[in-house]
Amino acid sequence: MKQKLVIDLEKCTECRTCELKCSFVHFGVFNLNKSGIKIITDWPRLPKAKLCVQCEDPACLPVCPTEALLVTEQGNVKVDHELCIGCGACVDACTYDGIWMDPSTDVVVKCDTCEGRFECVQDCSVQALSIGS
Amino acid sequence: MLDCYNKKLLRVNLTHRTFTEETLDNEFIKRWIGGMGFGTRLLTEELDPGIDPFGPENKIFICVGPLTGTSAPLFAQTCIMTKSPLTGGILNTYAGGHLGSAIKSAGYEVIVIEGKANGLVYLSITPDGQKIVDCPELKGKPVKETETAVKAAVGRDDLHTMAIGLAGENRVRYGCVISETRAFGRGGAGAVFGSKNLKAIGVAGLGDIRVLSNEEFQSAVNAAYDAIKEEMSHPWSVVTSFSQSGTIDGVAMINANDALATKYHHMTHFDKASNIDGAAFMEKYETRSIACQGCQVHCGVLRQPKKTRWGEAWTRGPEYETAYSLGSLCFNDDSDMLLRANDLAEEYGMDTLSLGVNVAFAMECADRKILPRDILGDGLTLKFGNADATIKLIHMIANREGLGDTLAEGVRLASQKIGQGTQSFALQVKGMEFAAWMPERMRGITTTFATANRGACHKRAPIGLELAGILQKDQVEGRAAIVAEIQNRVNALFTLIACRFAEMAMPTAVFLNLLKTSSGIEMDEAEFVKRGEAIWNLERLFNMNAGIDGSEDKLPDICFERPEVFPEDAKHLTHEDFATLMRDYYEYRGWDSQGRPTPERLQELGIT
Repeated sequence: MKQKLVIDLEKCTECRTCELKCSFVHFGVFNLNKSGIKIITDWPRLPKAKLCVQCEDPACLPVCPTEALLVTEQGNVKVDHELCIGCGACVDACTYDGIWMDPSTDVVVKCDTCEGRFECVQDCSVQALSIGS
Repeated sequence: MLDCYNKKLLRVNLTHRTFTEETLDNEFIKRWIGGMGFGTRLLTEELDPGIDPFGPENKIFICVGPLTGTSAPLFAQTCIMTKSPLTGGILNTYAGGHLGSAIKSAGYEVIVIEGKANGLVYLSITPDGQKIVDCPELKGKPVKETETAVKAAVGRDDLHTMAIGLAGENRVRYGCVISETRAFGRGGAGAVFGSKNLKAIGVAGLGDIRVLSNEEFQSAVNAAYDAIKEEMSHPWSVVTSFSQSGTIDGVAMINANDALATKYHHMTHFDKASNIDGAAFMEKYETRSIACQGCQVHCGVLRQPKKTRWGEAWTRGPEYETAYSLGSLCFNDDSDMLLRANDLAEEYGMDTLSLGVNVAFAMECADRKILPRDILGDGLTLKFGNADATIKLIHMIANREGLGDTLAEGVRLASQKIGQGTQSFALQVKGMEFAAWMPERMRGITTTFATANRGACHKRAPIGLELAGILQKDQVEGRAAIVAEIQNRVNALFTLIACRFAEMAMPTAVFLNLLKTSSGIEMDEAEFVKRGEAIWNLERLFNMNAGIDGSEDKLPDICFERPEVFPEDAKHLTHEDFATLMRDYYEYRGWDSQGRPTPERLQELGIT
């Protein structure tokens, strides 16, 4: 089984540390639109999260016309931002809302588990994030 | 160098409906760092101290800092500066949440609002454009409904907002600006919004936030995380306690210290405090923690919807300060009332501190037979402990009805209007109502209430040291210097817009390393604190030119009377001790005997 990022929304404080870390690790900048995890506030109710479920047979993978989606050693789908042309085919193909477009650069963004390093997990101060499979 | 700065200021003129971008020059950035530094410098340069705070010539400076929008923990706050309608002096007021990050992503370090719109408007600053939008349909609307309506109208789910409620529109002098679940609480910035017909601002941005060295910045952030973790590993730490139950967890500890202002400062202890402390709220209300952006402390306690006899409420809080002002100060231990009052204050957009003091002032006037007990109508009795009277007064103040119209002016002006000696017990300094602390009890609070540039404010005082017993509460010797140093230090931290709790968890070196690795700006701790001192002096000069001089560094007479219930072994405040504190304070600051900064000191601080 592939590893995936799992969030416990009951614990999440909506601080967005994971989103900040994600954009910093993948793009070298802080930008909530460039994060592969999105926390959506819905006060007073619990937040919602958008996140790749790392499915066994990813619908996003075969539809990419430029081979910008790659499979990592760990078996997760990763975006090559240089090759992505922002056509959005993968976004349309995904039924889990797990991949989306960064509107400022028109490249897609998703959780690739940092090639198994799950860098956001260690920074979550309330352990709302964990590694699952 | 200066990688984490946008270097851009957006100037919005509501009268002419124009937007202008200006470039912030490197020397300005390096000198004033950001946040309160930018705001103070710009405000004191651009505003004539003598202007009417409600006139179109007043301006609103909305500032973020060098670390806003990065992963540096506890730097989520946004700073608003304006001339306060409550004090007539310079005001800096802060709210956390997620707004600051949106402003930074939108590409601005400062947004300046000028002029006055000819009808109610909201402002939208997004990648789709900058717009001033007429919104007569939002007139009188509560804050939550307003923010929801603006988000829907702008049509972006990444929009973050700030808004005023009816109180700001009605120019209640302590009308505040609410940003989602957070408040720019003190000093009446919401009333200034109202005076400009500005109902709300929505901001969204797509921009990247960069730092000088990614690797070194990540190390600096990790050091900050480690410091916070270490602090929160101690069960005795207030940061740990706030993390678990919010700041209201302070009620029990402060009451145990005989320092909880109760029944209009006549008592230092509230026998029924356990009904309104952090544990009581956690037990009675379904609660979950929410945090400001990037914050590991998550002191926000979000209460799920609850029916009270004054209507359903859901709210973040109440904070400790509210449990004092609308709780112990009003001799009220009804937690449902506090929950609803907090919610109402948020919806009307009122600073709960000033609001509670005004309610308590009315109760005190009734106790002294200055106001009739039946003045509220509806068969209600104006007296301490009456929760119904408190809720009624909150509605009356926001709507400016009857006695509420008088109290909407704040206790300084209300006491002038009511007369009959009420000024001697109006709990205010420079027009700002007392925060949740007792100057009768703690000399750090005595000094800071009397001297703070924004009035009776607690943000820069050695509270922790006095409560922990590291400093003796009633000791006068040496206390003024400690207060002045903290005022300088906190002003410096507010250039980075650090949360007030950041300092409890992280040493100053951590802050300076975050600044250095993000911006390249390097300085030692002494220089950093000196920057804060320069800001303090700039504020002081502005206030003096606005007519608030050393003669306003004073406390109301009631503070010099020994409270009815007061620890036997403690010394209450005397005029002699107060005079010593002020003399020592001016001396430490290098000011003259009238509290005026000397030209020599100003020169040392680089203020010309």
